[in-house]
Amino acid sequence: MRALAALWHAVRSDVRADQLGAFRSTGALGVVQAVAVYKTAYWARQHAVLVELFPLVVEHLGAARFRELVRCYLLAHPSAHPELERLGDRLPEFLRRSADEDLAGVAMLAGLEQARTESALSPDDPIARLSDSVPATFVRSRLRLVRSLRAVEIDPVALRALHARGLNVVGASHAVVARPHFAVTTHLVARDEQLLLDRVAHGASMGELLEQVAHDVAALHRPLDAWFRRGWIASIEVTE
Amino acid sequence: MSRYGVGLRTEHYGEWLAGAAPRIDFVEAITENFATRRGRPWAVLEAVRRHVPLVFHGVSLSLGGADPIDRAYVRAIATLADRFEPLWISDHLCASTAHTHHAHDLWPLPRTRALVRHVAQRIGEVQDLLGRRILVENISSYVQYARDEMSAAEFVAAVVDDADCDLLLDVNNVVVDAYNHGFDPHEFLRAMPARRVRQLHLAGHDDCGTHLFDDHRGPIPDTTWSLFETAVSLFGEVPALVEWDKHTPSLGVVATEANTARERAAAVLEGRRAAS
Repeated sequence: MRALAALWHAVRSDVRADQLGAFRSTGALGVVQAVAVYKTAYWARQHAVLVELFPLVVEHLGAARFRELVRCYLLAHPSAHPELERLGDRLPEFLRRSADEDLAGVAMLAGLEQARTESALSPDDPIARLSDSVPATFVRSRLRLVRSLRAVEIDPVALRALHARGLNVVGASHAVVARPHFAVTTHLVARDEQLLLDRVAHGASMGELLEQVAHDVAALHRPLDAWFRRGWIASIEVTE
Repeated sequence: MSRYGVGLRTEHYGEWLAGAAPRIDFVEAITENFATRRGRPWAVLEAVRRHVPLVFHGVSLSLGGADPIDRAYVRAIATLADRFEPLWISDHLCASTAHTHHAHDLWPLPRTRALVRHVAQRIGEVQDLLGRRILVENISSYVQYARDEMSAAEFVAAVVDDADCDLLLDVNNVVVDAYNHGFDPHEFLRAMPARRVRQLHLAGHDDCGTHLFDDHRGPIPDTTWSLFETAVSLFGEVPALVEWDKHTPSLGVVATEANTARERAAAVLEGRRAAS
């Protein structure tokens, strides 16, 4: 097993030819070049995956800077999951802790992109319709959100990136990503709406939500209607 | 059993969901793309399953690695298998983890007798968890270890015998390995335990000058077709599957390549019948 540990070390570090004694080459390829095949594959494959998972971060930092980031990130956090899509699980936190302001500045953007990946990988849920609700029990009912839903706080860097992608960012404080069917969607919401959504996530009943909006039914109906249309609601449950 | 198949690739998801029905007999799905997720990937599997049977092919069990087998992940595979009833499940004879981390690559194993026992025990553990016999695939490689004690063919044959598992014989990997390490690919095939050869893989590779690189570019080169015909003459009509991962063309083109395998195998078997 020392041989496999040596390969891991050689792939992830800069080792000299005289440190490759565990290996031999039998063809035209020398040992250094042979080990380099694995080294190239290791970095190229994972870099390509992270580029795919974090396109907005790549766009913001530029390709060269992102490549450098990938190297530092993977050295600190080698892949811990068989699925390549889980490779970026710790990238937002890694960026947040960075002493480099440019990198720390894209942590929220990375968090948004990571939320999209998590949403894509989340379990399927049924999609409820507003017409499924029963008026007589409406105030006692609670909404169960689809498990793919993630509300992520966004900063000016993320707002600019989303604006460049054609989203209306006026008044937005959070991005809500979800996968109601096959495709992950992103919608921007204002602080008030995010607070309502957060209360729903924590089990508030419709009656409690009405209290929060000072019994202004229209103020509750507008977001509710949008949530159902966007496929964010998995079910309506009536409490006793 | 006469079966010719293609690998399930994301480039073809749309075609499958739109009801594609190519003339193939089975489809091989990469286990990691489906084991712990639902949504569109499962819908694709369901669409494929309505047309033909599935097999699952993994890349991350790290059967030769030093880290404990990821039992939770094997259980996820078992759940996937319960749902989609694959004809069989396979993974690679390699290491893909080190120090509990994933390399996302297929690393060659030191070919020692101790490793044969180690890998066989781990394959047994996976088979016990899955409740079924699995297939392991010979990989292509670019480096060998100073402490290797046996040839690549001896190692593969010893592992599948010790583990009492079946063999997914990747013909392209034999071509690549034989070129890179200077052995006779036909001799390699002759050393394989025929009764354990349950599936063949066919693919293309890149000639980098100093070595062949197994990148599954298509179409399948003549050297690989030639060795495939040897495999058919040695092992009979084993299910064969075309892998095409670089510049992947439409599903129809990949299916045509699978049917070329069908025709070539038929010609070999017809020739053998005529000769006898």
